Amino acid sequence: MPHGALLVAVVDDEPDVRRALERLLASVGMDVEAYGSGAAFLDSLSDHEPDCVVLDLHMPELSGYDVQEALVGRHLAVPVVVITGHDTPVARSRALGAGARAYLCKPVDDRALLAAITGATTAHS
Amino acid sequence: MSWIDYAMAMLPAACLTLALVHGLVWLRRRDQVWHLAFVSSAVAVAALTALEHQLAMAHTPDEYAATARLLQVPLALLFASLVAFVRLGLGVGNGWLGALAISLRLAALVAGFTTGDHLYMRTIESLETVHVFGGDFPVPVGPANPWAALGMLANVALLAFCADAWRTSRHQPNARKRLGASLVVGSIVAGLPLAIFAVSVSRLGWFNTPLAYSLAFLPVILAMSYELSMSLLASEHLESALRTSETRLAETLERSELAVAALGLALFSWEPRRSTLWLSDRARTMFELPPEGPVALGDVLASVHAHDRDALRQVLAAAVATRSAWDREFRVGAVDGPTRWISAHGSVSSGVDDGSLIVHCVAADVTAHHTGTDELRRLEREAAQQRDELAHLSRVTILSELSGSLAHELNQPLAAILGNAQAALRYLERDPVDLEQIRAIVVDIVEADRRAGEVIKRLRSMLRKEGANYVELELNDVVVDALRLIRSDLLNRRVSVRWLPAGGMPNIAGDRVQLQQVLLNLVANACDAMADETGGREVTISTVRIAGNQVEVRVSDHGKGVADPDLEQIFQPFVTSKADGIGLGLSVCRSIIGAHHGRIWATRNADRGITIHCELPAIDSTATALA
Repeated sequence: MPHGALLVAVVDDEPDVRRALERLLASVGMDVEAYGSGAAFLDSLSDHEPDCVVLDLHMPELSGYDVQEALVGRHLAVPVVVITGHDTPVARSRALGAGARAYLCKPVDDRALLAAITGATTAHS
Repeated sequence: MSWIDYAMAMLPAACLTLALVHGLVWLRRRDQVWHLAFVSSAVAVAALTALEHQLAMAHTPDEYAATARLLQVPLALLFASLVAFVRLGLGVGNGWLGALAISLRLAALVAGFTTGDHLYMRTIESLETVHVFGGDFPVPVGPANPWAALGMLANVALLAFCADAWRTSRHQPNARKRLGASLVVGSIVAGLPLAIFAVSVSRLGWFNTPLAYSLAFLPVILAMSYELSMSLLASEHLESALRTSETRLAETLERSELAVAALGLALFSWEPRRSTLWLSDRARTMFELPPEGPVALGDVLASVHAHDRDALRQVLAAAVATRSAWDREFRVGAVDGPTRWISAHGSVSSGVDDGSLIVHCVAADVTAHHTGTDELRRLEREAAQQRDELAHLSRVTILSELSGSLAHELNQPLAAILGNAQAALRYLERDPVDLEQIRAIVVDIVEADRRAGEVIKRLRSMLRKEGANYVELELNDVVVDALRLIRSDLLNRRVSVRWLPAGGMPNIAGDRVQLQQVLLNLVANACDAMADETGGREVTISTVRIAGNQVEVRVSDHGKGVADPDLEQIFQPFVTSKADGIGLGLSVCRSIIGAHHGRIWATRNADRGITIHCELPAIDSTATALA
């Protein structure tokens, strides 16, 4: 798969999950930036934008929804792939309604995640 | 007739009257032989008086000699009677001295009959007449009899006996007896020298006194009679007092038997040495014994429940050995039949008669009490079981409410494991394989697996349906464990937690799961109360050590508060402000905290919301309560 130098941001407050996703994406040759909170990710956007963001919904302070809102608010079209450990119909429709390209449930399969990222970046470009 | 003639007629009559009176007394009280001693003394003095009167009437030396010889007989009787009276009636005097006086007097009696015309004169040659006390009396004339010394020695011996008795009588503890002894012995000590003097002077022919002995011994008879009368009166008084106290004792016994019967108590006394047993009627019923006839301790023990019999036997043996009071509860009845509980209390005392030990016992049927206690215990067990079941139900309810969050808690480590494993597979396909990277991944997988395992373990313990298991706990740990379970839910509800643990908290004794459940309930309630809040939602949880060896955990919210003016209402079952709640959470919390000997209550915060306080006893003060 021609991923080239695709830059993916991983935003998850759980260090274990964050580290695992970072490794998984790096193993297929992606460049990965990991953030422990939504605020840290939003701060980084002033410097550069990733090609895609893998976003956890359930985080203290700024949640995944808040980050989605902030992106919309700043008119930033960074494609969002949502992953959640707390899957509910409400969460799914809310995340997708806010513009998420994909909605995945933890634990997430590598092929599904990579496909979602690929799909999101392809559509975006 | 001179006054002496009257006296001579009256004195024997008086003496015989007294003798008759005390003779009758002796017939009724054969054991009081001193009455007999008095009778013979009085008869002897009466005989002496009569013989001395006859002596005064003698016309010839032969008549005089015959009477004088005979006079030694009542004199010997008098000596023997006096010694017997002093020894037996007064309990004083030296026995050897008494025996010596009697022996000498008997020797003098024999000498009087065997030597000369009479004891004092070898031959009576003639009789002279002297005028004394307004009358004429014959006086014998002749050579003295050397054996007369025997009579004198007998008198001296009796005097010594009486002097010794007087000395010892002064130590007599009873004042009345001391006075009586002094009177009797004193009258002999005073009268005997008078008689000796009178006999001596008349022997010397200076002065003749008729009635030498009778007049000397008359006060003795009066003193003896006085002493006997007084002791008779005293014994009558004693007898009457004894009768009164016997009557009172009988009344007291009757009253106590009545009281004992009214209380349904049974009495029994056991004399181990004689192997005798006395039981009240109630005791016979209690031990299922025949209503009449002799019963042995073995019969009582045989009716005691076989499992309690040896213990009771040992208690009785120990009580006798140590002479101490004892208490025991035991059953009566067959092992396979209905039994009744008996509570017995006993004491050991020495018998009045011979000091042998007597075990007294009072027993009561306490079956009802035992049945009541058993029933109470059963109810308590049932209540605890119901409390545990309700706690479990409430736990399941709250966990089902938290299920989404709990799934999230479990999904996190699973996501980490899967991501890491799949990354590792990809790294393994590379050439060369980065083994350091693989190792780091595997370490993370192991760690995430452990986390998942802990979540499952925690869930399983919360869902397990078990009775309370009290162990030593740190209250702060309980709070942290509960917060772990509910963390995801708090994230979902966008509620932050301010956790303020106190340092240096003493441990508590409690059931970890049930206390976590209380914390979960309180935090969940706090979140619910703030559900409509638009600003930041925060639950403050703090622990604090308070005086009196107690610890407290407080859960505060700044939610809508409680509308009911009575905050206690929120702890009532089926009271809820939630549309989908059944209102059991706080009432279950209260029953759990109550079972931990603690208390739970609510207060309104100064600004908004309420605080729930849970106070629990620290380990020292609960150690005994939970034992």
